[in-house]
Amino acid sequence: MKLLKNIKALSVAAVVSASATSGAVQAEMMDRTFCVWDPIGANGPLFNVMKSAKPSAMKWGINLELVAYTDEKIAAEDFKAGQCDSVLLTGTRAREFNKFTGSLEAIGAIPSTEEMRLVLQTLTQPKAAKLMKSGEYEVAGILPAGAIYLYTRDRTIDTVEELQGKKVATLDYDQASMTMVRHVGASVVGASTANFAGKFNNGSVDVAYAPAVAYTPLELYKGLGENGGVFQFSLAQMNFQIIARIDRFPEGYGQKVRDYSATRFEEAYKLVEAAEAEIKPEYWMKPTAEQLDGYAKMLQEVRISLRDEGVYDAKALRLMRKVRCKKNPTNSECAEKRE
Amino acid sequence: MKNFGVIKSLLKNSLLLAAVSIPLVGCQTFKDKVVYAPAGDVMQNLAKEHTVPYMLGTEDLAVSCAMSEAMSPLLMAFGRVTSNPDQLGVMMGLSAGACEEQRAWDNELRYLRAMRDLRPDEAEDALITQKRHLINASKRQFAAYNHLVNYYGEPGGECPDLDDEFDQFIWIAGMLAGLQALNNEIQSTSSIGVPKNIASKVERGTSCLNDDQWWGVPMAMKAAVWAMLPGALPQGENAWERLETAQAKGEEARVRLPNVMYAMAAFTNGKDDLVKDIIRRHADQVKKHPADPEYILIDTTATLQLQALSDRLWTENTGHRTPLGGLGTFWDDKKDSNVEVMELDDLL
Repeated sequence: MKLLKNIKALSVAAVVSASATSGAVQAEMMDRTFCVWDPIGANGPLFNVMKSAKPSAMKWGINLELVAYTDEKIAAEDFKAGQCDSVLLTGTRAREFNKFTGSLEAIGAIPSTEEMRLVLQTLTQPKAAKLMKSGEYEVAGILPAGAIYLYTRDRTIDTVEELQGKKVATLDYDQASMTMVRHVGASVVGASTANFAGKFNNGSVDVAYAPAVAYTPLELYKGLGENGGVFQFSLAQMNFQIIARIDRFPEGYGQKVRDYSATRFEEAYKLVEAAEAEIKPEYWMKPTAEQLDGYAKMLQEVRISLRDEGVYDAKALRLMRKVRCKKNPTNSECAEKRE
Repeated sequence: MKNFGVIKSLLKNSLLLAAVSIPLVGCQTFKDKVVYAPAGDVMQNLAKEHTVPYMLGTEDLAVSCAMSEAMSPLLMAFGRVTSNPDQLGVMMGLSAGACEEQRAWDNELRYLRAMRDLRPDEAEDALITQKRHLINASKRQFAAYNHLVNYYGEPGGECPDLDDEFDQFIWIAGMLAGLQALNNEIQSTSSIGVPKNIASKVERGTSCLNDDQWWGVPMAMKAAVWAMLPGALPQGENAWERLETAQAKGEEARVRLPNVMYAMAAFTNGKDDLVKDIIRRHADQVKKHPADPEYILIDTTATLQLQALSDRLWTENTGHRTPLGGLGTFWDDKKDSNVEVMELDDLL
């Protein structure tokens, strides 16, 4: 009889523990909206990657409703207006919600994937959580999208001096790029993510900048034609950021999402590598070491002036300078420490 | 002298070996040329002249899909002995890809149900399974697209000679396969090497066809790319108006494939009400006007694709797929308030 009782008790315990570990979520769920900018919409790559995160969010008690936005500006505005609890934007768009992370796309600040990896890993640490919060917003994850390159229809434009007077398709909301284009004496032709490729391909601009992931889908090779080239120099490291309204999510949510995002880095880098490999080898224009040094110095001046104007965050620039100096400690900037 | 003997015996042996192996090799070539190659040509011609038209006139998509999965190795193996059956390869890959797409849909629905029931582990498993099927679907469809490229050249450049109807049909099928391969690769969030410019190339490749002859499908494909690819819309064009016109052409011809492109473009752009309207109208048209007997399979495919979209919406909102006979209806449809009833008050 006692044995029977014990067996009964054991089986009850087994059922209870099985249901506790079965992945069924018993607690109250929070319904929250996540507005995802994807230029292709609900069938696009960014939207699908974010969709894969929904089961994980559910385990943390959040039922995320994903809404696709093909216009990044509207996604940012809806988020600001409180229509979305969380949003996915590019790093530059994200600047108005967090100046620190929004400065990670600063011109010339991250020379290669290697440094980008170090920055991202550094910011995933729980210790960095403070930097991720700004006012009512928290950056709950950053995903890398690869280097931004300069595409020119005429490869004789191979120095900064040659850019003078040339028309450059420039994202009109990006103050830093506008400053940069004017700084080198080129002329700004306002463009958006939806129309810059058309302008480049039909010749209304001489030069455009974009990450490699845009090269094949938007057929930038048509604009490059027979005479064009891609300057092999990382103007910036593009990234996507998930921003959340702090008061709409439970304590610790931001860190959980950041940890989750970190598990997707390799996947993201693979996509970037595949996209870079699609650019025909003959298009790459390799600057000399001397030119590279000159550009690095010029971009540093632009960054410092943009920092002084309040566009870039000083702490972010300092972190990125430290990362660059870890890889190349002999750089003159490492002794000068102006950033 | 001793060495000479060894060399002589070696020579003797190798001559013997050569004498024996030549007829063997010759025998294989003989079989390939005289037995298999004509059989392959017969199979290819049979498939082209009878199997494909026969299948297009049937409505059982599952049978056509199972046939493609089972017969592909047999038919494609004839490429080893006679000309590569690229045109058939387009059809086989497109159709076999559809089998994997359906398996992926089932797992998408399982994912949605699990999310509704707050079972994230199950949801995650369903999502992983869905992605595996999407990768397979994408591979098969990409292979179909490559057969198209092998036979006709890459779409998007100069138009190939598309003399007869069969060529034109294969051209449409191959481009559809390309678009689906790209779409499924994106959905799978993996990279299997489908070139991302297929959409732009197909957009141009549709101009090689007569839109009226092909039920509005070429324009529907073009306009769907305009609606989905940033910056693709030419100045002065309206993708949605073009899709609506294509819808009408498909209905007129009773081959309502343009509706699938219209609905996909609407879904991608978050226009759920438009998706519902397209499904409602499609279901109504199918009920009232049976498919063109020559292309029943295409019309049925369109219905099944729209049913998959409908199932997704139904499952998200109710936990189950579209009820039987319920295609074209939705869970939140307003009930007809003018239903006639008898006065009961004096009986109560």
